[in-house]
Amino acid sequence: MNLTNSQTAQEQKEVELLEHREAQAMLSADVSTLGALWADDLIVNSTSNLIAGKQILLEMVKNGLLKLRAYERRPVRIQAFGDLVVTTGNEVSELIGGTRAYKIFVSYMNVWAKRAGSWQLLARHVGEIERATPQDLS
Amino acid sequence: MQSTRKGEDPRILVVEDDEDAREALVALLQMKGYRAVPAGNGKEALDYLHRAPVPDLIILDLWMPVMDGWQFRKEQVKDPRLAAVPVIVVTALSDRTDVDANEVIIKPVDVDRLLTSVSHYCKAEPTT
Repeated sequence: MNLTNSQTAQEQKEVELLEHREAQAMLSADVSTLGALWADDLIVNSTSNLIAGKQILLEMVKNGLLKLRAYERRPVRIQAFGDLVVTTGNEVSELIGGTRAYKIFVSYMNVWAKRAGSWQLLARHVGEIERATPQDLS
Repeated sequence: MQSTRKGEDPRILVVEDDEDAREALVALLQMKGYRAVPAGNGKEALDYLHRAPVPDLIILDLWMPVMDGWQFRKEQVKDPRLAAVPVIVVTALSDRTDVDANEVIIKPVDVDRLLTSVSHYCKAEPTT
């Protein structure tokens, strides 16, 4: 598939907006939005070295296992390959676990796919850059 | 041998030195209704096992400080009370699977595969 420069720029812009929308949905544990933005066959490889799919991840968000109090995503490079767009960048998040908050710096790669006219997150890989000392919240 | 006490959720000991991986596994198993208990290395795991009920399953990392997974297995099989407890090894060392275990799962761990295996070894269904 040949894309003109303006088509590519448009798709990059669309996916960049979705990148921020998805990050915001993670922060607010918005399962409905995440369910729409995530492909049914989503694959995520996390910093915990666990490979998980859409259903288990939605269950974790619903049950508060992925509870965030801060989450900032900064795409560094967005590249279109027809109906696939690959984004890479870094993220800073603060994960709440029990009575502690964990600030984690990661690099990530997301793969977005356009299916039936809509972009969905198809694959994601996260690698830890640095982890701050946990903060006691009690 | 399944040692689940009647009316209790299956108990799983997670032996993993990486805190992030250990907490994620324990949280995942607890979400699925298992009673998961963490241990940071083989020695911590043995200390726990010597004072607690026998678990239904042990999930074991291999490369750990203090006491690694290979040594833990040697100690486990020496103890008649613990010898029959099934063990799933999870390791990144795909060329070092020379460990006596019921199953070896290579990291990164596919959660679907792990949960299928866990449910196989923990025949009693969790309550949730």
